Amino acid sequence: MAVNISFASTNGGVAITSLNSGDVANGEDTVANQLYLSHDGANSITDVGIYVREYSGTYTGAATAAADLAELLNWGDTSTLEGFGGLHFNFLATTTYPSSGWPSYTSKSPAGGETVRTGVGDSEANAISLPITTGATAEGEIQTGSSPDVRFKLKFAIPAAEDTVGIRQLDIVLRYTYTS
Amino acid sequence: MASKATLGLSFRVNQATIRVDVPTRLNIKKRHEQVLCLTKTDNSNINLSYVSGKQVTPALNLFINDRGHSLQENRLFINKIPTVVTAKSFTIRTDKFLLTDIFTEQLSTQPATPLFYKHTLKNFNDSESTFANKTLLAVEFTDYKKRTIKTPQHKIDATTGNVYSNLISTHNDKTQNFTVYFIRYTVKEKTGDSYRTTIYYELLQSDPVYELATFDDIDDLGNIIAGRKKYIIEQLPASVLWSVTTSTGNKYAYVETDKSRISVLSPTSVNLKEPWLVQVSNGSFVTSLRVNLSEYVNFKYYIAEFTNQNFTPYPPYKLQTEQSGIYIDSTIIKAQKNIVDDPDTGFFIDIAIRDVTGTALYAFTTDESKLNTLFEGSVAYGNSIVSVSEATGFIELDTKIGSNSVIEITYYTSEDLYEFSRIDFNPLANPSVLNSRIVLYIAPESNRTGVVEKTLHYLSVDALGKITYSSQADDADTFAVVDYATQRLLDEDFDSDGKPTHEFYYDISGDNNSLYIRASGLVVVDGVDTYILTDGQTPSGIVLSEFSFIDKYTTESQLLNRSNVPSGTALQNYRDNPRFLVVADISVGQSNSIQSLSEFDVRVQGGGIVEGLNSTAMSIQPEVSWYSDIGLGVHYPTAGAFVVEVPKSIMKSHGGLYSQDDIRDIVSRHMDAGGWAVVREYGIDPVITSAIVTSGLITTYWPSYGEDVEYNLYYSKAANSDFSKINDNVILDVSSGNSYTVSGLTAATTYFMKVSATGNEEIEYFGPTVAIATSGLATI
Repeated sequence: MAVNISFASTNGGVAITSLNSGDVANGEDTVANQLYLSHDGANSITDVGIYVREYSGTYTGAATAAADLAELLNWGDTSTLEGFGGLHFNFLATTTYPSSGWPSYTSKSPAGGETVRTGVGDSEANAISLPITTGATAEGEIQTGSSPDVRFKLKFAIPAAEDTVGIRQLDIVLRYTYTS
Repeated sequence: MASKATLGLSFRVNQATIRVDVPTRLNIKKRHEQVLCLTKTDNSNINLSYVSGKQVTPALNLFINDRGHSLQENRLFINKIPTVVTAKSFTIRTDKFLLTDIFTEQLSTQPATPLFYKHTLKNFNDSESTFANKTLLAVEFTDYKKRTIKTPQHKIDATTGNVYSNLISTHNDKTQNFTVYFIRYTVKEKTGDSYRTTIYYELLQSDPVYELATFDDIDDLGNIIAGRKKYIIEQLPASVLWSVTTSTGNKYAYVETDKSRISVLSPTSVNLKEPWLVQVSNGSFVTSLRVNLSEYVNFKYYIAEFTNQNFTPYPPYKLQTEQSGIYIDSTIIKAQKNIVDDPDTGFFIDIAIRDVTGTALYAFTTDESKLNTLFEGSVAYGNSIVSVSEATGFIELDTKIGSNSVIEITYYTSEDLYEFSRIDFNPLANPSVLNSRIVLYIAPESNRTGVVEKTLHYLSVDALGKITYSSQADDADTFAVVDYATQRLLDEDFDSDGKPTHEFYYDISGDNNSLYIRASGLVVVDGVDTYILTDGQTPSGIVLSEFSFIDKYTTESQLLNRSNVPSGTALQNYRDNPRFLVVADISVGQSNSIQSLSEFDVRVQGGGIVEGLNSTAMSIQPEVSWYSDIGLGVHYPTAGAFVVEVPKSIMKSHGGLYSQDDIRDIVSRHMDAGGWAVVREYGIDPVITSAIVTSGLITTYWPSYGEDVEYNLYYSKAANSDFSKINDNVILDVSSGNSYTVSGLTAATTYFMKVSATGNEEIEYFGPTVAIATSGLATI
């Protein structure tokens, strides 16, 4: 039996398939979007992990989907103040997302947060396991129900040194296991 | 069952502000350049070599902070109201004043007003022979446009042709505002049985009604001859007053002049071509100051050096040669000082009017013997000088000149100021003034000092408020005549070259606002151990209160609180209380804010920003469009000036290829319209000063130019070419003087020789070429 997982902006809200984080200047961050996860399975799903991949829809960005992904990973890899950026997660939902949960160029993987970069969230094998602080019943586990209140925040940090304007696009993928 | 869910994310980077390090090349590698007005530009500025503001002039860039009024007796305003006396002799507290016995008529609505200035109508009272045949019909005052002005208070003596008033023409150097008065009068002249009526205009003379008597005005008994508007003045012994004596016991009024007190005035120069020497008014006054708990001493404040100026041909006159004149109007110019135009003594006025290139357009003179002779071989002297206001320096011409004319006036002036020539405040000639403040002060004369030769001294204070130099300490003559008790800057505190041996600083945080010494321990003054007072330190021994005299706000010594001073030392402080009068703080600096500065670069076409980055640079810094080889090449809409320093060795005068004009031509290609390059030569200028000649030998001599300098000697039989080095090895410097003997020369032959000097810069500077002939008979 197939299980459908939904991304939503509110707990139990309408499922979304895309998210536009808006306009941002270099050296600044996009707004932090909160995503709620739920599924329609009769049992909990487990081994839930998050990773990024090339944008799979119709690409309308400034370069290519592959370039956007490579750029994002490079932003996350860089360890300088001006070059650091990328896709940042804050999983500390149960403590209202304190700033300590956001990564920084000196701490890319703080407690409860993560920066997508090479080897971290860049492939299914390297997927970031969903922590319990997201409201999960256990690490990587989302309970049943339409509004399990499992959520996290993500934002894009644009490096100060970034010198190219334009739209970037990519996919985040939720990997999981369901046992009927 | 493993599965996946996907969410498409997007965002847009809508702005990418970046800093680009733009590679630049400046075409200044071969030139040694200098920013005249030291001002930093923003770091984002690229490729800016110079920052410059308006034309650098004393009016805009020299700042004189008058501090002379800190001593009550040096305040002028307290006696600006005329004092009326009715006596033949009376006392006054200064020797610089205006005196008159001319008053307006007393009216019911207005009291009699003293009139201090006199104008003698030149075409009415011109000679005894015609005077009786003339009748003065009308007198009016006008402005410089010859428009009648509201009749001021005045009085006319129709018998003598003297017109009395309180009007005086003025000009403000800083604002260029001026007020020029003319006088218009009508004279009816009888010639035979006919009458002729003529209207005359003259610049208003503002001569003092009463002047100091000369020997010609005094009779055998030492009294002023009756009827003479003259006075005698002498300082009363042991008093702060002067005694003034006139010929009769009329009703007099006197008022102190602006120069009755000691103050510092701006230089007369108006541009960078001339030295900027400040002037000090020759004020003189005596004040009685307490020197201990029961004793007062008279201290005389005056400029002792005044009479030692370079007068020409004799005091109090000075010849001003080709001094820049001030353009007032198309027919009115102004000399910078008062004028003495007296054919009887040979004091004349010569005026040259040039265009901006320096070409002479007109020459005017009051010297009739020069009329119609050629000035610089090009223009004839004319007699276009219509009238002169000697007291104010205004000159009226009957030839119109342009507002951009270059005016040079040669004239004699009656010097009433002391020109302080020890420091040239022209930042071009003396760049060190840009980094320091000069504090001028008077060390007064008293019965403790006896007669002194110098009273005007200065301190050089750096940007941090530290004294870096004391002229008084550096002046051995002063030390010889100044008593310890009045000499606050002691020789123990300065090296013989005037450099302080202690570190002085202003204490502006404490209550004292005083000068202290940042040092610890003991110093010895006159063999007595003396403690240095520092913040929070309880003084003991003799406290050096004398160092507090350079207080920020007053000249009085900072007397210590007696409760803080050990017994006896307070008296010491009273006795040593210095009486210095700080006259002014003088500094040279930028007159404009950074925002109003103009900026330009000096690159050649094709130089500068790498071509591929032009658009990037322009998007970051729009000002790059002002550069001639970038984008539109928009010229920056203003002018500037800067200094280009070149080694003497490249100058034609030293055997090089360039004249100053050549260099300016080259530089002008890299600067905006209206810019002006000031070319200055630097380096050693070795000069052969003498030679001893025999038939086959020439020994040349030149002085030492430094112990690290090496010399070469060159000769040629042609004046300008084919020079050969004579010496095989470089000639090392001899501190007592250098010489080199050349042998094997042809008798009775002229050789052209020059010496070169190479210092630490490794640049060979050539001196001028001299022609030396060997003696004897030439072999044919």
